[in-house]
Amino acid sequence: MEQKDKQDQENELDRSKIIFFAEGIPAFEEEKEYFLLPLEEPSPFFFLQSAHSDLGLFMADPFVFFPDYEIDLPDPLLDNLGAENGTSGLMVFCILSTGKEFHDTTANLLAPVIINAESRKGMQFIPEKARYSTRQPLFPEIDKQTSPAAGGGR
Amino acid sequence: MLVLNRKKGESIMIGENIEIAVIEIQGENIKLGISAPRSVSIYRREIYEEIIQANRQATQKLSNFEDKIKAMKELAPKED
Repeated sequence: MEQKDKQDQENELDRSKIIFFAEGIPAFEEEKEYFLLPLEEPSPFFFLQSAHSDLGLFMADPFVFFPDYEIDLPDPLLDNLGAENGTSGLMVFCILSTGKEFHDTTANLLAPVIINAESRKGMQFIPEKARYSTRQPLFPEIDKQTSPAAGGGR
Repeated sequence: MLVLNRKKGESIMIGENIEIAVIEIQGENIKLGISAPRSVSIYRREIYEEIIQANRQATQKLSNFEDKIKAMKELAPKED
């Protein structure tokens, strides 16, 4: 019980840092409040932790791993995020899925998480067309070295 | 599910603000036009479901993989 009180207290202290996902995240529509935790600084990795459950999503800065990555955010999305200055000030993350080995990690480039640090609003962007994969290997070179017959992943 | 028959050029209204029109029919392909307020999100169902599935599979507990993160950090390209 004491443990729980302490947890609540910590959450309370950090409430000013909560990022609000008005629509939740697909599959977790009820979870609307998250903390964005950098995992080690400086690092391209982040953790999106629900403020109310142990739901967490491991994320990375896609531009570090995929320099050619491009997304085209529609105006309604910018409005929903309260992005008055267009895309400046927006942070883009791809959700990672870890496999058995860490080098099996894949990135969801199809539907990035967009966070406006100023308004503290976030959402997962669902594009109209499937231009990217939801399972893009994060470390393609390592994948090649260790498994020449790559592509068997499901 | 409500099922309606529509011909090319006809449309249906959902509430007062959403209109779905049949623009073109070619064999098995039907081109739809959708008018809706900007606040209404419109997705292709298969894309939405793929994302739901990917999100479910991606869930993590922070405590479970702090070691993994360390190892992955070493593999990440260095930021200039």
